[in-house]
Amino acid sequence: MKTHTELEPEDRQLIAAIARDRADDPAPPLGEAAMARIMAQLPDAAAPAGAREERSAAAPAWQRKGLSAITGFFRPPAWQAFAAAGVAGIIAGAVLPSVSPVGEGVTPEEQFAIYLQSDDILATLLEEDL
Amino acid sequence: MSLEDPDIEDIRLLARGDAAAASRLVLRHSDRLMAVAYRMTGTRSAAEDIVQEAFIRMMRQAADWQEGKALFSTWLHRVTVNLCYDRLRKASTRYEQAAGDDLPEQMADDPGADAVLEARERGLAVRAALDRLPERQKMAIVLCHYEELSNHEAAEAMDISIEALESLLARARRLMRKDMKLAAALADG
Repeated sequence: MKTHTELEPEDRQLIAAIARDRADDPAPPLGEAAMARIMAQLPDAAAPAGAREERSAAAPAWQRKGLSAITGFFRPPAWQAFAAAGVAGIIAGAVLPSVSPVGEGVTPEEQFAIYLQSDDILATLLEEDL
Repeated sequence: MSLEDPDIEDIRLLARGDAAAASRLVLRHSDRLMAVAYRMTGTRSAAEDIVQEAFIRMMRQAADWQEGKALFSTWLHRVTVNLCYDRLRKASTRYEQAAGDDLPEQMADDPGADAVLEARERGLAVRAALDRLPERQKMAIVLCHYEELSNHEAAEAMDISIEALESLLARARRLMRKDMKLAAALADG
């Protein structure tokens, strides 16, 4: 935006006000601490492309994929999913049967039907055979 | 399109891990990038965060830089512009420091204090109007009028056409003028 010939007078006044503001409040330079932080990134960030290729070609692709699958399993999300599945199993196997509605308001006939469906009947029959 | 890029030798050296080349690139471009980030965010710390991130990206990009596609400085400006947008969307902390600062006590009796106050008020009026602009209009004003980039350079940095940039500039100037007139009328009345 070097030429202001086609600008309206009000625009030129605004641009002059901006120029004064820029002179009154110049932008600060980059601080030394920030500069040091940038330069500290150099060794890793600007590693030569050849070196990066060498690193990535150190193992064959199938091996890298296999390793990443194994190491991926040990990352937190996989463990969390594994733990969640375990807790769900415990709830389904132990907690839910103990809070089933059998017992209250169940007629003797219904209790007998439940008994017939349970594993206890097998033990009883075995005892009778013996 | 083949472009003669003044930074190309240093980019090649940086791609091989040359710290001196990195340092030269940072020194060559940091003032301009700081100016853009400072005008957009209004605080030195936010501007430094943005510029630091832009240069870290520069270091990562150097090894994969495709020569002749664009000027490196244009790419660096574009990264800075996008980081400024990200920052503005996350927080609105612009010019809080400038507006909240008090003049030092010893200035109260200083004959030059009036001039300083006047300059500050004038500057705050311009900046308040700038800050109320939508972010793309604000960026257009910062690049073209504060940093005096050409329309072509500013359009490239913002990744838009020159026509779109000119439209943004025209709307931004109109809004700023209106805003400053209103502020002046309120101050007088």
